[in-house]
Amino acid sequence: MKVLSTWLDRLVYGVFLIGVCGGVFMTGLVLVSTLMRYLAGSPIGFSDELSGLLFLSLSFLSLPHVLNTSQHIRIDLLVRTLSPRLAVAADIFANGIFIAFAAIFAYEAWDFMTFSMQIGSRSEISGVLLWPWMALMPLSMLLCILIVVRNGLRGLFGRGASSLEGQS
Amino acid sequence: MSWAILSAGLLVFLGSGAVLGAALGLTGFILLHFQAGGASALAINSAWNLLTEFTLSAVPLFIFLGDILLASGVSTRVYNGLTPLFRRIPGQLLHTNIAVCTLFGAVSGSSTSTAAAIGSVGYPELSKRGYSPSMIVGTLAAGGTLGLLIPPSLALLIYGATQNVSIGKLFLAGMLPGLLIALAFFGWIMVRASLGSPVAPSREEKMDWGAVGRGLLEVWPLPILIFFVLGTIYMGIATPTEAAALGVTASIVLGLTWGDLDMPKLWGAFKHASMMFGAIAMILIGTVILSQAVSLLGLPRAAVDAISGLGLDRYGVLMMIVLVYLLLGCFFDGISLLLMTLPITFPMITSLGFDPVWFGVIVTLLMEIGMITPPVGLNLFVLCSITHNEVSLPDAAKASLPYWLILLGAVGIFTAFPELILWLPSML
Repeated sequence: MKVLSTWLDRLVYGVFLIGVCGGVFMTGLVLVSTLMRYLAGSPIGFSDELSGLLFLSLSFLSLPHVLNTSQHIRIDLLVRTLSPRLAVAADIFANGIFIAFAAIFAYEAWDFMTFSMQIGSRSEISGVLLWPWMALMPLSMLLCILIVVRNGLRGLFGRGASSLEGQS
Repeated sequence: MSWAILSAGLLVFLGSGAVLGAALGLTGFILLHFQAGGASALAINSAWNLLTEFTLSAVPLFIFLGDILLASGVSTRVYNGLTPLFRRIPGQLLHTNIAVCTLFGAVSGSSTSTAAAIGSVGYPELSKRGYSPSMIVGTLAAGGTLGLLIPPSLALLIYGATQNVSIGKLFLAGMLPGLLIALAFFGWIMVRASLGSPVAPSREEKMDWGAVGRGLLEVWPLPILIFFVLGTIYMGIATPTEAAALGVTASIVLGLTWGDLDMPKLWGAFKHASMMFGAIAMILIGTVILSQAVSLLGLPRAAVDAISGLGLDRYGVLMMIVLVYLLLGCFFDGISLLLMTLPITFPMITSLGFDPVWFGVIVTLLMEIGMITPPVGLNLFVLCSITHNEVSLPDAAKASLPYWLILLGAVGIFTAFPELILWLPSML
């Protein structure tokens, strides 16, 4: 279990670093395209399109790591006023909401991707195959679900262990 | 029924402490599935279109820019450069906080980045010199909010990209109100420093014009950066996304040559900025799904009809919207609030005949107010942590109250005189 958890952390971080590299590449691409337009008189025709796809990759590939480091924004004003027992229940409910959202999103995004794969859709200008980029959406959500489930289990077992310690 | 699902979904899901984007998105999915004939597949299409949108890709680029400047230590140099300018004015270096925030806001685009960057330099320096800690925090919190309004502003960028409003016009529209509010902040500091309990040490130092000149020379690279970011947009050389990429490159060059930037710090800035953007991306995803559901079901139109039934004129409706923003601003951070509410408020406001550019600035002002409104005014939190809790949250909130009132007054003034906002963009 611990090995799996470590691998999940590494995978999520690795995916995040790929997203960051995508963001850096996007910056460079936009810059080069702008300079080419003025200095060489010939902009890179597909730069806007590819920048959009890199923007998508940065967005989705960073989500699991942001979740893993608890950086996502949540409104916890109400939860903070609850008793510890109710706070645990609210936490489980909140995790349930996330899993439900991510599962529906992943399911619909998978359909979206497989349809695109079937019709072999490509971007208009550069002809880049789109389904691999679309695959980032369900992949990201599945990683998010794994993190929430892992953290939930860790929390439950942690709580179980601490309550046992309390009893002894 | 749709309204009941929307309200109950948001109340229960958000109240449980769920991730904001997931709570918004799940509410949207439920509406699409049960009220729009199982149209949940549309949500993915909307998310794909939004997150492959070239214009919106300027958002992470501006966050990169702010983080690189932060990592470069540029804020320290700018702060030290402007310090001699205010030595003889009542309130002295407290004005530096506002001036530096105004300048930094013109390159960073984010309120919290501005408050954090200037706060980490300004607070230790000013508290060492004997300024009132809560007054320092008040000026920094208020000055930080200018980063949201003075272009390039993340809030205006997101507003423009998601609502199809010209970002160039929005940036121009934010400029004059931002400067007027900065002037009002200067005015209050002078009044406060002249009346009541002392908030600044006695003025013993003489004005040294040589030091002023040398200080201004110290900040010479900043206008270059402002040109790369804003000048290129206004001169029609670059789109906001291209200007952001030029700004990122210029900030790297400046950071490496003029600041303390090195490769590990640069990589760290990219990673930190990507994390910050990831948190925004999650809200963007949730919002676009909710927005799809809300517009498909015609909820904004229904809201306008319902409010019209109350017999309110358009200013009455605007007043209600402002009150809702002020209330929600106590609980939500700025960008989340903006993204959550625009699917309803934008169509409402524009259908009542208000200018979309004008509303962009007004809604940003309302977000600025939220940034310094307890209990979740983000700038207050950031600055209290910078002071290592030497200034408590209630003290920081109390010190920010005059600036809060100035911002609220600005909403009233810009509503009464919309040309103050629309004059500059009308010349574009």
